[in-house]
Amino acid sequence: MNEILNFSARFFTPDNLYLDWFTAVLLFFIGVYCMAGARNMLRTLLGMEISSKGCMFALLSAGYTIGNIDFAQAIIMIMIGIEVVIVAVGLGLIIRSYAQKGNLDVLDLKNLRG
Amino acid sequence: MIHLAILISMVLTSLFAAMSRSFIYAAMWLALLSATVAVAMFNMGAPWAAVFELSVCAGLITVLFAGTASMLGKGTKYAQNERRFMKYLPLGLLVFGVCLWVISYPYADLLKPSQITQTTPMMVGDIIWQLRYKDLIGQICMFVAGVLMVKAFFGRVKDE
Repeated sequence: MNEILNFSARFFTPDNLYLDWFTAVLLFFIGVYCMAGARNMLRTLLGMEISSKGCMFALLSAGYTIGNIDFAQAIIMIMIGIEVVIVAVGLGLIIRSYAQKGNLDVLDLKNLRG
Repeated sequence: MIHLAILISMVLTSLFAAMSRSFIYAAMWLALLSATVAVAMFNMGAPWAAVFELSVCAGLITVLFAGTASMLGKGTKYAQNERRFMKYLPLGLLVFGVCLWVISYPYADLLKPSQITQTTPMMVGDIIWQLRYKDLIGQICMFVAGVLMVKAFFGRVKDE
């Protein structure tokens, strides 16, 4: 019993980079699956948001592990600012597309097909 | 164990956000995911990033998503055959997770840092303004480009 408790105390702490990395990859997978599987443009943007959370968490965990958390914080703050711009522009594009086409299906965006 | 609970809730909230039938609920789950990431940041000693994450991602981006979803109404529904693909996400995640664990766990020791960097202690503000000022300039350019693009999308069309 003590061995299990010792293992869990050692394994499930923020010091274990592998578990953080594993979670970040799972988040990235969920986001990519959402982007690849969704035909609705809003859900594609949502998938991108989930993937970016995974990247952000990986960055944070790396900064924590090497003892340079302030540097990771600075990068994450800049990343959040850029993320807001991307979401705002993406939503603007989606609204314009809906006003023209009447739906958000990415397969209907065929105007530029050669 | 708190850290494990945070990690599990991160995966669960992102799963629910991806699979929610209503887009408003998906935006709410995304806000919860952001809040969970913010808690993880607090837990790992990054309070400034956590405050940014909580106020901007869990607040502003959720409002943007929810506002757009309420504007579009029926447009947020699943397209044909889309729902069928998305309902296999938990199964795909499980298979991917097990495969990833089996393949990568023997190499887990490689992830340990070879050396702990002991840099001169700098505040977050100093790092941003002194070391990463080029990133700041790029960020300002992106803000300007974003504002111009949104203005171009919704600019008033002159009557001819």
